[in-house]
Amino acid sequence: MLEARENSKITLLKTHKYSPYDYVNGLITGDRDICAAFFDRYHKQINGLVHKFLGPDQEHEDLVNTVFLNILSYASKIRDPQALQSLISTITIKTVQKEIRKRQYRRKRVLFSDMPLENSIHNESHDNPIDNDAFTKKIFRILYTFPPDEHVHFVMHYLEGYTFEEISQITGCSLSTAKRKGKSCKKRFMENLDKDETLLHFLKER
Amino acid sequence: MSDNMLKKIKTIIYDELEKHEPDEEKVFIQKEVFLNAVLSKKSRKKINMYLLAAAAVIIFGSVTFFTLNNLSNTANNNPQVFSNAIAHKVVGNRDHMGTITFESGSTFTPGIDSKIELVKSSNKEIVVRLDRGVVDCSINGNGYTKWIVQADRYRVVVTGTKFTVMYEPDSDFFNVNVKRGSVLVFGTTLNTKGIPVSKGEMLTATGETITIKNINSKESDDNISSVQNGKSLKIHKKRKQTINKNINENSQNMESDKEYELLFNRANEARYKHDSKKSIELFLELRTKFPGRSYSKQALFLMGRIELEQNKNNLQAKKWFEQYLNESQNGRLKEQALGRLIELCKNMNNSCKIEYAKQYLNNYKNGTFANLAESVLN
Repeated sequence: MLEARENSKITLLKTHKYSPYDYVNGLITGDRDICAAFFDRYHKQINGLVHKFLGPDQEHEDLVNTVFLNILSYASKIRDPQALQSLISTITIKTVQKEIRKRQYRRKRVLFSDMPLENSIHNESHDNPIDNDAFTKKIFRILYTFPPDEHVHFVMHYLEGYTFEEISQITGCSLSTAKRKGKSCKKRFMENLDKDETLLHFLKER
Repeated sequence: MSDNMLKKIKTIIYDELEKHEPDEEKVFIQKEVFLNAVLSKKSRKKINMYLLAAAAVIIFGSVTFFTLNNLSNTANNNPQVFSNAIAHKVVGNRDHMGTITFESGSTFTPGIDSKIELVKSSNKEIVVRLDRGVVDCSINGNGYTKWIVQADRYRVVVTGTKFTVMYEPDSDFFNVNVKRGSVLVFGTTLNTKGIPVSKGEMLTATGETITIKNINSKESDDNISSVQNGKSLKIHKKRKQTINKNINENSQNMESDKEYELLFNRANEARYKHDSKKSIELFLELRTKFPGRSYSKQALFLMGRIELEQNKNNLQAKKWFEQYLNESQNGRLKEQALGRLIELCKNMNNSCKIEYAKQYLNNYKNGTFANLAESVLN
């Protein structure tokens, strides 16, 4: 048993060459090797999070880069390097939230023509059966019609499985607000789903 | 039901998103971008450090230089030297109490408990401000630099001379004593063109009293005093005629200007009060007293308006407008006068309306009365 533990420790040390303290120091001092290791370790987490919030997106790479740059500029303010992982999630979520807000603002000003408008979502033809890809895109298009906060709350709670306490900590709102937004975004999502027969049909078939 | 649905949706979406994960090439680009950002942040930090170090060296150097310079000046009792040869290059403690000396040999030496300040130093102009007390000035002018000593509202302008300026702000006492050359004193209430003060003369101004006296000769008949508008002026005989003439001319012009404007304003005031009789009387008085001046010409137009708008006397109005057009053929109210004449003639059913309409359209095609003129011609 002890051997197994020791072995696992050794494996752990081999996998993660640097500790969170090293990463934070490396980010502050600009050590290229440590920063490269930091990227290798956390890029999957960040890419995945951005994907889950925005779905298949043309600006995915740009957003991931923005998240990394935000982490870099925030590095000197990190007080507890042990919490680096959760901090990365928080920075990613905040960056994504900002992006959603920006997109919604642009959409309201009719400057972002490639974003779907609320009315056009359910008016597409229902003749052809949809596949997983089309279904996913449709779901994200529905989410884009939500207020930015509700969009983020929906993904965090119903897709990512964050608790309302965690959401309130990450987004900086109160627990009751997080709960209220969670309820309202679920209601809104179900209403949108009910309107779309294609989606309902697709879900029933699965 | 909804929870099951959400679970299904989550599974489908996550399965689908796995397919869209960035490939190696994209991840490599992301990494390069990130590492470049790290590098640029590092170099920016380095540059900032270098800049900081350079700034510190410059500040330390300048502080040391000026401190040592001041110390050596005090030790050797040498005056501080400013150069007016290179404009805008005078750097140093301008608010100082010591002598200001320029490379040309010009000096400004303050007396006891006096305060001077070099406020401007360029090739064109050197300005030294005397806040209080006495400053002894010795100017070796090069002919094109203007040397000015400023004491509150008083300005002593010179091009090459030796003189002393004294100023006490509490009592508003100002004194210029010229020992060599001549200066021009501005800022006195009597002469806006500047009072010339020559070698051996002294100008003293206390409040509204200005005195110029020859300090080489004793108080005698040569010194003449005159009183203008409650201000006493004591001047040397040689300068009496020019200064007195200027003063008389200026004061007369000022008085007549005042009356001219007063009459016009009073006439206008009466016009606004619809006191047409008084207004016309005042305008006529203005025309009699100041014939040919701009307000007198304008008075014709305004009288026309009074007759037209207040007295409803079209004939009289027509007469004033026509007279205005005769007197000021290119006046700024010509368009208005012509337009009103068209209107008048149309109301009176007078044939001259066509002539005025043509005249109006020739000059002001897009004017205010263009439509009226066109309707008259059609």
